[in-house]
Amino acid sequence: MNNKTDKQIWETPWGYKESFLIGLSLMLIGFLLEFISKGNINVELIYPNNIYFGVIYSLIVVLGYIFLKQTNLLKWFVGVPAAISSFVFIIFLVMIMGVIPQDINYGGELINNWGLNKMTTHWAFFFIMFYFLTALGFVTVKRILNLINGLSKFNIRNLGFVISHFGLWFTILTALLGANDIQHLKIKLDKGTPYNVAITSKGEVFPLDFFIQLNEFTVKEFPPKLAIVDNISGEIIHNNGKNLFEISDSLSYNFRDYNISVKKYIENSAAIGKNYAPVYQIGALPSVEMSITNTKDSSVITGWVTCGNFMYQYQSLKFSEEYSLLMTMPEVKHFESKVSFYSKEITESDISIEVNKPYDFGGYKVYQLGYEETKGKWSEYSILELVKDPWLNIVYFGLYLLIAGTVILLLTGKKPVKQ
Amino acid sequence: MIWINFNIYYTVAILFWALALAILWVPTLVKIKNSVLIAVVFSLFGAITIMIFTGLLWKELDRPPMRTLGETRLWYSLFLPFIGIVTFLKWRYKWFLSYAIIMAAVFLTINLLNPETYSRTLMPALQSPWFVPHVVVYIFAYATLAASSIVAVKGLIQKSNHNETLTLADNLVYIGFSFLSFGLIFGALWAKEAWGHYWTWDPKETWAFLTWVGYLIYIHFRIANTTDYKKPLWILSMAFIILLICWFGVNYLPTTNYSVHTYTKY
Repeated sequence: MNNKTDKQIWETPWGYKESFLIGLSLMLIGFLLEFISKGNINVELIYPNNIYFGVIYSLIVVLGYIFLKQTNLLKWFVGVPAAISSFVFIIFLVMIMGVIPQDINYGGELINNWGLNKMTTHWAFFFIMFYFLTALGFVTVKRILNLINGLSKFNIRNLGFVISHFGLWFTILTALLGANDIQHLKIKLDKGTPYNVAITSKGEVFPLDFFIQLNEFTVKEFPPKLAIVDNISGEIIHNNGKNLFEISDSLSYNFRDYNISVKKYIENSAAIGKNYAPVYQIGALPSVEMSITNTKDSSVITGWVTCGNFMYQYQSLKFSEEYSLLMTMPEVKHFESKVSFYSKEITESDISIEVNKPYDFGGYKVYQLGYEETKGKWSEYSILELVKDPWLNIVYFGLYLLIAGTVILLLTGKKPVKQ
Repeated sequence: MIWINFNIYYTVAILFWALALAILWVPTLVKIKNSVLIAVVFSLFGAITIMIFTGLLWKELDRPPMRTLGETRLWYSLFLPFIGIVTFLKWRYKWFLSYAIIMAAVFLTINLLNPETYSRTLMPALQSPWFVPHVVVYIFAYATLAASSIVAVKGLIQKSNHNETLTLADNLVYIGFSFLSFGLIFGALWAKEAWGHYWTWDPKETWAFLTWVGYLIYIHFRIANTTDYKKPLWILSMAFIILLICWFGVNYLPTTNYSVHTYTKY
């Protein structure tokens, strides 16, 4: 399918040159439209219009192929050059997305005028995705019809082709169509009080038809780490993290001329006089009693180190003119809300929600989102996110087909090369 | 604190691999008939050494050692020799096995020179049954695609049998691309469970998608332009550059602050 050198541009069959010119034109029109409109023309497809649009578009792809398959336009559309040019322009646009932060507050005039910081809603992106999807749709219809008409062999490989291509087409189409129907809500729960009012992603109040009550909220932390700080510069000598040591009762290590070892580690403690003692109440913090031996003169320094929190100051331990010992804030291992749901019909109590373990209720997937971070494990509230995506199973259907098609193509291996 | 005794395992693995390379290229070294098979066995021993270290590290850290870049490099050094061995047994290319081993050694050396924090910390977002399959599938894809880029570079530099070079590249790309697709899809399914949506154009996702499309260009170009030789190899090299940006480069781009995929802070 190489371009013959004696072929004039736009002479059929169209090859790479024509494909790239078509793609380029679409993209430039998109950029111009974005520039002129300043991003103000936003077509938000929501239910039920997205369904109408999807059905009509699919019909156009199917009927378009059936009635126009003999035309040069369609012959070009189902060819590799059209596909590759669409890939290249997708790469170009998505690369902009991958380099320039997609945040409307980011960048100067150039970035804002051309909409480079909002590529997902950019007209150029829309046109190129449309070009890509249409080419993908046509080629899928072609291969399905070829299988039905017996024009291509009904073998496992051709089936893999159809399933993977259809799966991808279906996934991208439905994901794009359904994007604006997805509902993201946040709800902040204080312990013990049932709430039924959430906040939308636009900051509006949204009444739920059920109540959620936070019964218990727990945060587990990893043991904090010990760090050495330069007294003069005030910087942590972390040496890419190599000088950070997770605290445990048996921790003992050497740093230059010093042996640093833990005498006593208390996970939850409070200051009592000059010492720390185990307590379990709001504001309790990890503390560690250290013993630092100067290996040159065998002098020993002991003292307490804590990381501090919203209630207490941190405490470091100066063990030489140059260095002090510091405790880093503990990192979060696990956080979990125990909640109850109450709707008119159903009550579900003692439901545990944590990161990576959302819970389904009332048509929503309920996620553990956050908590009062300044208070850490003593947080008094939990923030949950409620997501309703009516298109999820439809999109997943496409994804599963894509997986199946990929497995088939992987197992059937390479097609014999046509020379 | 750094990985325990890594230098010992490193030395043992490098020794095995050096022996393998020596036997491969100096056949007079071992005066028996199938000396190349001994090279294969030594390559395997080197890989097994790394496997043992990875297993012990997993146990010691009490979490899958797949969070930091150094840990992913470790898996890469583990997969590459295996891919090299399997390919060698099928195609008998000495250079391919050698490059696979050398590349694994290079990545292992990077880890030796930049020792990483020994940190048990695993943020809640990564505590999921998806974590291991997602990373393993991806690193396997990366290793296979790295192997395909070795083929591409070799093919561009040397005049070799065009058909053989491209067929080998094709086979590696098909396997690598399939796994890349699985990694991407598993990532999407996981993201839905962890963050509430399967696709958010997070910078890492964006670059993973770019990598995926890059290899799509190669695959489609090869179907239509079977007689072209240099162009597909250039496409393959470019696609690998995108892959490397996705793996490491993302951390240096302005978009990185907007990414939820940053797990390498100590």
